[in-house]
Amino acid sequence: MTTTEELRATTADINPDAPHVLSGVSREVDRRGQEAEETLTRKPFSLTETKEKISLAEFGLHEYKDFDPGDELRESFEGNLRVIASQIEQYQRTGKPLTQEQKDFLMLYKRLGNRLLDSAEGWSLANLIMEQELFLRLAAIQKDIELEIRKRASPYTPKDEWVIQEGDVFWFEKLLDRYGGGWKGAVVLATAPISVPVIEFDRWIAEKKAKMKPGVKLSLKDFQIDLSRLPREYQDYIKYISPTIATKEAKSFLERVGKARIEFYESLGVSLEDLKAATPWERFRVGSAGAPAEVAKAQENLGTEWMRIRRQALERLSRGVDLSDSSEIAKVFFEAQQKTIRHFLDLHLRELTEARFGVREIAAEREATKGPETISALEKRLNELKSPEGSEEVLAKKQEELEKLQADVVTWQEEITRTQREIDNKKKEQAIAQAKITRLSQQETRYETTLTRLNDQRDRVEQQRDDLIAHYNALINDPNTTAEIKATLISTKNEQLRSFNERISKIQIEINKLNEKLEEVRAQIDRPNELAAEITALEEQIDKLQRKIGRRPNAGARRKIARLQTEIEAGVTPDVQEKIDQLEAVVKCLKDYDRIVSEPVFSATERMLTVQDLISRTEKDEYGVNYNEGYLRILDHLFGYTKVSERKKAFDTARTILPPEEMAKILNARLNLGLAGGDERDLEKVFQAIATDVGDGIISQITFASVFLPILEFIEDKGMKIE
Amino acid sequence: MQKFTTKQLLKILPISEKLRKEILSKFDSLSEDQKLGIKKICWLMFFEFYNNKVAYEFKKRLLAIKNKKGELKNKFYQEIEKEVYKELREILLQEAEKETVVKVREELKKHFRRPKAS
Repeated sequence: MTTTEELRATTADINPDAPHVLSGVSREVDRRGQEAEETLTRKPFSLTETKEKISLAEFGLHEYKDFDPGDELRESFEGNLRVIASQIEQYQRTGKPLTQEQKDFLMLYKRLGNRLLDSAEGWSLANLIMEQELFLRLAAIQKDIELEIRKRASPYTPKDEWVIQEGDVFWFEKLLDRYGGGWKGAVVLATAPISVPVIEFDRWIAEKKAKMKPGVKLSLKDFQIDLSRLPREYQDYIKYISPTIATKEAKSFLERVGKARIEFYESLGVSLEDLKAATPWERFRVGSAGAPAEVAKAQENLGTEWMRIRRQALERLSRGVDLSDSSEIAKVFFEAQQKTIRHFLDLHLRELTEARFGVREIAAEREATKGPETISALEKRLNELKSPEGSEEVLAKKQEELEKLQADVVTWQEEITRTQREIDNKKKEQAIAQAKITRLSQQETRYETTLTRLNDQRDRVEQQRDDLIAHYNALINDPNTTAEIKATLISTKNEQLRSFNERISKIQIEINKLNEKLEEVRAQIDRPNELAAEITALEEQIDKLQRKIGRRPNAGARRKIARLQTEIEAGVTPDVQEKIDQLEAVVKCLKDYDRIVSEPVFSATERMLTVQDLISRTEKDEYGVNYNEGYLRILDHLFGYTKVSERKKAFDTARTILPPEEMAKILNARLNLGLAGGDERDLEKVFQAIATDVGDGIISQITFASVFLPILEFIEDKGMKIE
Repeated sequence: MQKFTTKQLLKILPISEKLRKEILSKFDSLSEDQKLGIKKICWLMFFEFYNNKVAYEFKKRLLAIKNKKGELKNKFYQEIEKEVYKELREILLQEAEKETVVKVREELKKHFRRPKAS
């Protein structure tokens, strides 16, 4: 193969329509444009011919053989991608946000369909997407296992260790089999804390099963994966797939993906053994110590493009991170995976961009674009606030609010008066009830004494009755008693019984009456206490109302009323003016999008990227705080606050829109500075990290200029939140 | 300060001819919201395009070195970034000047027509 052919093999399909970049300008261009076109068309970037075969070199491997996946593997990849895309789409319909990578993959897949697999980059992307899905599904499985074990183990040990009981073994085996014990989910490299089960899920399950012996202590840590630091989108997605993770369909899908990926690697000439050996994570001081040297070497030799990209991302993201913290490891790993996917998505730049344009309905057959109406929404709000009608509207609203508040205060005061009256009445009642207590207590004692006497009397009569009945029964049942005497005895017994029962009944009636009276007396004795509780509740009610009104002029509703009265008298309220200023600044920024992004690309960076200037502090205390010079320069580039007469006021507005800590967070994320644990909000530390990276040649001018995209997005969002 | 616009970017970004012509022809009549939508995509694409081009050049040089047609120098990657940067700068700035020329030419045409019309 010639160099050109090799190059073609390496570059084809990266950008099928790239010649335009090289042809650069349209036919009517002037001479200079044509010169540029000629210059560029000589470059190999213009290679566009469709290749029939893909070389292994295109995957980044040091092989020049053709990549021959075969129809079966291709169909298998196609089927798996279909399932993943459909699942992401269904998930999107639930209204939960997708990650940018999920969105872009879906967009790209819809546009290209199975044509995605026409290039090495497409295969790589498909492989990464499947890998990502495996990670997420296995994370869901591990969560599920942990949950099931916790449920099962809790009667014995609610903590982190589970002493296995008789009967647990069979249960555990059945549990693990639900997720699929026979598949090899191989082919994901050991770069994550969940890597072991991912590489060989069957082996992992077999190991766990082997440990299951009665009396053995099993640590729940073995089943835990700390996902708490993962982006919210992933955590939600894991929750979404969890309920169906133990179904036959899920099991079968995992088996299919695992098999397809093993075959994919085999067709790249990479054996399963090579994969097991590839553990780049160890290089970042995590993982099994004492791994053989050959293993470490093998990982270097597995030179696919996505491995290189991921290793770089891991290396960068793990800087300054505490890798003994499992949640950090999971976070870093997922971020590295996300960035690797991003890399391969970006290689489909043309398709992706056209898909993005398509989403915004710019295509010829459709009407003009229907992007989000940010600027018009902001201008509408601005006009409302600025116009006399707007001011009137604001004032009317404030007047309405004032009147409502004043009416509320009147109502609350009336309520206080009414409640106070109620309290007074209750206090009077309480005094009267208290005065009766002595007499009532004596009465209670009397009733209790009588009640005791009556109860004794009733018991005695009952006893007499029972003795008499027993006596009569003995005579009646005596065999010597004649029938005639027996009849007489029965008659006498019944008469006596009736007489006793009547006496008992009369006593019982007396007892019941007395009980009622006793309850009544006792209720009267308790009344003062009841009244005291009611009075306390009413006093609390008054206290609450007084707080709402405001005990002092600068508290509660009184403070609000005073503020509203001042604002209404003043006409336009200060907060409205502040909103107007902010909205104007945001709209100006958005309309100035081209300048803000383009200037730093080629010229403005001398002003912004002079490392020492970024970090240095302003000496003059013009803005109340000695900000970093870099912060002031970036704010000025965005809002131009130094070019207006009311410089301090314009600065305050700009600062409110983009505070230093928000700028720090954006820069840290966009430039992959890897600051964490609160440092990502410290602009000084962020600038120091930028200075280091600029010095090391990691951040180029254009890379730095790209920070204005997320900054402008932040400003736009901020503007839309101004009410 | 050198500023260039989305319309200039649109002329060089790798998208289909049909789509490019369509957006360019409609661009001026679009609303500010629509323009903003397009600006965002174009600039996003520009930075991605730059990264791709650097990656491509990097791959190309490595291959050349492998075939003994070059050597691995210090700051190899950074040099490539600089070259790509320079190349893009030239293309875009030439475009900018061309636009100015076209504009001036249009102005001149108007001036020449006016006397005839009067």
